[in-house]
Formats: sequence, C-alpha cells, structure tokens
Amino acid sequence: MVLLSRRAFLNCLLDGSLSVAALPPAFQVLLEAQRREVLFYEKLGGDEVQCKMCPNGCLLGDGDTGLCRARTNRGGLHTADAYANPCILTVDPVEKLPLNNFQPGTDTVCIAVGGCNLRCQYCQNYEWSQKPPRAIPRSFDLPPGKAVHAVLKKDVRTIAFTYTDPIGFFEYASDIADIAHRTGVKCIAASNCFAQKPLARKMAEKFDAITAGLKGFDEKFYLDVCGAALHPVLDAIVEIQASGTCWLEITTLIVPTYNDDMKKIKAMARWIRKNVGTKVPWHLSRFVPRYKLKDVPRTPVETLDEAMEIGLDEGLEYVYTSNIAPHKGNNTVCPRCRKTLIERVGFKVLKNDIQQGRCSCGHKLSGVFDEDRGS
Amino acid sequence: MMIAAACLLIVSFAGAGDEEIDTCLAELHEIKADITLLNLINGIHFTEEQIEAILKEAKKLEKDLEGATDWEHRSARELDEEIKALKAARDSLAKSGKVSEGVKARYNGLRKNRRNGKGGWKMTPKLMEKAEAVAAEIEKKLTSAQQEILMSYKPCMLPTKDLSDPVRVGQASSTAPMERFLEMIRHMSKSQFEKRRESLVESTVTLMERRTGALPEAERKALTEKTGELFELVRQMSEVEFALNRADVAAEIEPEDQEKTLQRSLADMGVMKYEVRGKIIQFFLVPRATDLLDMRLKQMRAQ
Repeated sequence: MVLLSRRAFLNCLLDGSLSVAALPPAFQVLLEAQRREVLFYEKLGGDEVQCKMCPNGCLLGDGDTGLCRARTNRGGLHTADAYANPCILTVDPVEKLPLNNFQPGTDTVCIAVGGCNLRCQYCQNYEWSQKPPRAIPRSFDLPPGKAVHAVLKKDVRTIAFTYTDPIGFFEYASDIADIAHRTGVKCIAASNCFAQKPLARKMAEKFDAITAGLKGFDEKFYLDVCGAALHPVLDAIVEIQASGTCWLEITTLIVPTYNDDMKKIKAMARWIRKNVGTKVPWHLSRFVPRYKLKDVPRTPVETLDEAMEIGLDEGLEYVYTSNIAPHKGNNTVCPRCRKTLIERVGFKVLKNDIQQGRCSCGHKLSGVFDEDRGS
Repeated sequence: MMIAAACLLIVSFAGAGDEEIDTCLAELHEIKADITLLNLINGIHFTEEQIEAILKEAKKLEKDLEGATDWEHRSARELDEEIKALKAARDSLAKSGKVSEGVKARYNGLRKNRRNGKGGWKMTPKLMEKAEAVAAEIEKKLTSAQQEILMSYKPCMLPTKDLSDPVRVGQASSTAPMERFLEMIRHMSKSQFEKRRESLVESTVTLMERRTGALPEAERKALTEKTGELFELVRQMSEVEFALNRADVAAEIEPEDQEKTLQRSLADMGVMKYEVRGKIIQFFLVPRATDLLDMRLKQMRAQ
C-alpha cells in the first residue's frame, strides 16, 4: 500500500489523477476548502480564463498554471494552488521587511507561500519563490483562522506576508487579514507591487503597511533582470498611497552596474517625492551576490552613501540603508531637528526616543509608532 | 585526533632550528592579528574622519607601546608549553590508553590562548592608565552602533556572519544549529527517543558547558532537567507551534554567553564605558593597528 501525505493526496485530486466524484462527501468538502477561487480573473469561454491579478495577464487553458506558478485553471475555475499551505512560517523583526516607521522594534509572524510573478535574477529566496508550491518539499497546514490563532498565542501584534510575494498568494493573505483585523492583529506585506490596479487597491485595503519593491527606474532593467515592467509597479505604488489607509515604504536594492546609475537614482527619488510624497520612507538596500547574479560584487558602501545623499537632497524625509550595519542609514532621524530618534544596528533597535509618535522637538513623525495610524 | 595531529606537527618541526621556528611563529601571530583586525575594521565601517581621529589619538601612545609588547619571547614560550602539554598527553596515552581531563583542559587552554592572541602584553599600571585616557578620547568618536559592534566582536580568521553578511532584508534566514537539533529530536520515533533521551540531554548539557565553562552541580542538574523537559515539549508541539517557538526554545536551552551577560549587566549599571575602552585598547591601540588604519585611510582617500 502506498501512503500519501494529505497534501500529496489533494494534489492528486487536483491533477485529476484521482476522481473527485468517487470520493466520500467529507473529502469533497476538504477539497473545496483547498480550492480557493482567484480574486481577479476573467472567464473567456470554453474552459479558458485570463488572470487579472498582475500585469502578466496569463491566458490559461484548462490545466494551465500561470507565470506565478501559484494559480491554475481547473476546468474554467481559476484557483489558488497552495491556499492555506505556507512553506515558510517564522518570527522576525518588522525591520527585516524592511519597515522602519511601522511599529519599530516589534516582532512579526512571517508567512510565505511558494511562487512569484517576477523572475529577479538576484532573488534571495529563490528556493521558494521560483518554484511551484507543490515542488517545495515542506509546507504547513495552516488555514487562515488557525494562522491568526497561532499569532495571538505567540503574543505578536502583526502578521507579515514576505519572503515570496503576497501577490502570488493574495487570496490566502487576504482571508488571514480579514480574520486578523477582527482580533486587532495588523497585517503587513513586502511586495514587488507588479499588480493590476484593482489588486493594488485591494492590497491597500487589506494590509496595514506595505513595503513596495521599486527595483530600478528603467524598463530595460525591469525586463532584463526581473522579467517584469516598471510602469505597472509605479501605478500600483501610487494606487496604494492614494488609498490613505495603508502605510507605505519603498525599497530599492542597488545592484552594482545594473541599477546604480546616480542619474536614475535621482530620477527615482524625484518620482517618489512628486508622486507619493516626501514622508514615504525609502530604503536603499545593499546587494549581496545571490542566485543568478553571483558574479556581481556587493554594493560599495560609497554607492549607498551617495544614493542616500541624493534622496535627502531631493527632500525625502526618511532615507534608510539596509544590509549594511552599522551605518548612519540604519537610524531614524527627526526630519526637523535631525536628532537620531531610533538607533539601530541592522534590524536591532538599540534605543527608541520616539514618544507618542513625536520627537522631543515636538515634530510629529510619519509612520505608525504606537496604536495610532500616522499621517 | 587534534592532539595526534599536533604531535605530528611537533615531530615535523624537530629538524628546524629554534630561531627559525620563533620567526615563523611570530610571523604567524602577526598575520593572524592583522586578519582579526581587518575583519573588525571592514565590519565597523569607519568614516575617514573617525580613522583620522583614532590615528591621532593612537600616535600619543605609539612609543610607550613599542616597549610593552612581548611577541618574540611569547612564541618560543608558547611552543614550549605546548610541547609539555603534548608530552603529558603522550605519556597518558601510553599508560592508560586515555588522555586525562586535566591534560585535555591544559592543551585546549593553550589553543584558546593562541587563537585569542592573549598573553603578549606587558602593560604597567601607569601605561594602562595612559591607554585608558586615549581610549576614552577614541570612544567619543564612535557611534553607539559601532560601540555595540566592538563589544560583540570576537577575534576571528573568517569574518563572522554578523559583521560580513548580516541576515538581509526580506531574506528567509536559515535555522540555527540548536533549532535543527530540536527538529531532529522531533522527528525521532518514540522508541528511539526514549532509548536515547538521556544521552541526548547529557551531550547537550556538555556542549553548553563547553561554552559557559563547567557549571556548579546544582546548576548542571537544573539545566539537565530543563533540557529534558524542553525536548519532551518540542516533541509534543504541532508543526506550526514548533515553527513559531523553536527560536525561543533553543534560546532557553542555550545559556547566554556569560561574558555578554556580564557586559549587559554592566551596561545596565552604566559602567559599560569601561568595557568599551578595554576593547578599544585591545584592538586599536596595538602596534599593527595604526599601520592598518593608515592603509585603510589612504584607500578611502584614493577612491
């Protein structure tokens, strides 16, 4: 007799290698729970569908899986493949997303499901993001309610959808967020924001904070290195900020020779100022050789220094550096009096002098520092 | 195994002259000290102004320190100690087939001293006082993040992860060794676990003692009991509970580095400054530090 795990068994059913009709009703209910319909897609007639989650807009025949590797058309019903089956479940500081102006110094429970709609050549989590969920050997059985219950038991105030992109598992993340909000737990996400506008609006509605990956500032870089396009990302970021309900931070990983042209970095800083405002924190991240870009050296500290200066000169109030510690860019500084308010080494908060969201000079800082939602 | 390898090393040195050995060992010490210092300098991210200030202060001590080092004599003395320890090990092996704990401790102590580069200073109280005054000036130039790095820096040949390769933003970090060990315990069958429970607990406690030093009997007993209970606990946890709590359980078993605990207590009491100054003296007021900092400054200016 061959013993199958619950997940392998369900996969067999979803693949059609076992007949659903032949199952007892209890199993059919279980299967339905596993099949969560995708939020935005269009039925094209016959069994064809077009996914409307991200700008890839995959056209899928029966049995086809999208570029994100996480959604499959099953007889005209577009479904999420690994609903309630995260492959990563861990606890990290919020600073690691990175989010520096959202409940700094607190821990968050991180959840990720396999797959991603981008193909970044330097992906740090390619073992999970560049594989379909079923190819990842280990996963958790964690329905949304159970996830929130586990978080409450752990006494953590936030759930983070990170490591792989929540666009790939938005149905699951969204259901968790609905339950979490009812219990006072906040939901945050790290996303590439390569999303269609309706999804971007939905993300802003469901998540309390998003750190958006603005990976470069030209279409060629996005196409060659990330397998995506820049403009939809910019549109999604504007959409999220326009919601007014979701705290936004922006992250740019600076890869030597690929996107470290200071003119482009200046243009990016200017775009941030003009389109989402000076109060949105901008994280400049140091590249470390990884995945397909192992031949590229680390970002020199001087490059990060220069980019940081550019951001500040453009008038951005919070410009941070990450993946380098210690560095002055790890700290949160009052935009008015320049006093260092949160001192960090990497993700570790050494001191936090912010009192009720304010500096001692009286300036109200942008962000979510206590229970309030900042400006 | 290590002792046997070292015996071979001594035998291979037998043909070389004493002076030659001394020179080689002195050179080895110097290179190791340089690498250790470079790892620190690379990880602490000094600005040009900071290096200039450190050099300015360190130069005040340069002459005094020249006469205070004992590197040449130390090499030969250390080798002599090592030979004595190894001879004792050889005798012990010949007689009883085992190396006694005392001999092991003596040999490991020598290795540890050699790794940490200790034992080469002749600091008089007067010189120490002067060095502390200089260190206090340097301390003012360091940010508190740099002081934190300095306090937690352990001399190393390969840069430690925290300095060279911090866990990156958005990167799912790999689990620590103790967490992986706990995972292995979870996956053992009931009979396997029951059979090996005692030895697993014992080896874990012994491993911890290697880090903290021998524990008093009462503490050892408490740790043994607690470790056993925690092993049982992780076996009872669901996959989700384990994923969310493994780091906490691992931290409960692994006692915090005693040196770190002491530093934290001192910091809480407001006397951490003294410790930072000690580290400044240890790393930046040594003869080679000024050369290396000078070299780094020139590199920075050239860029």
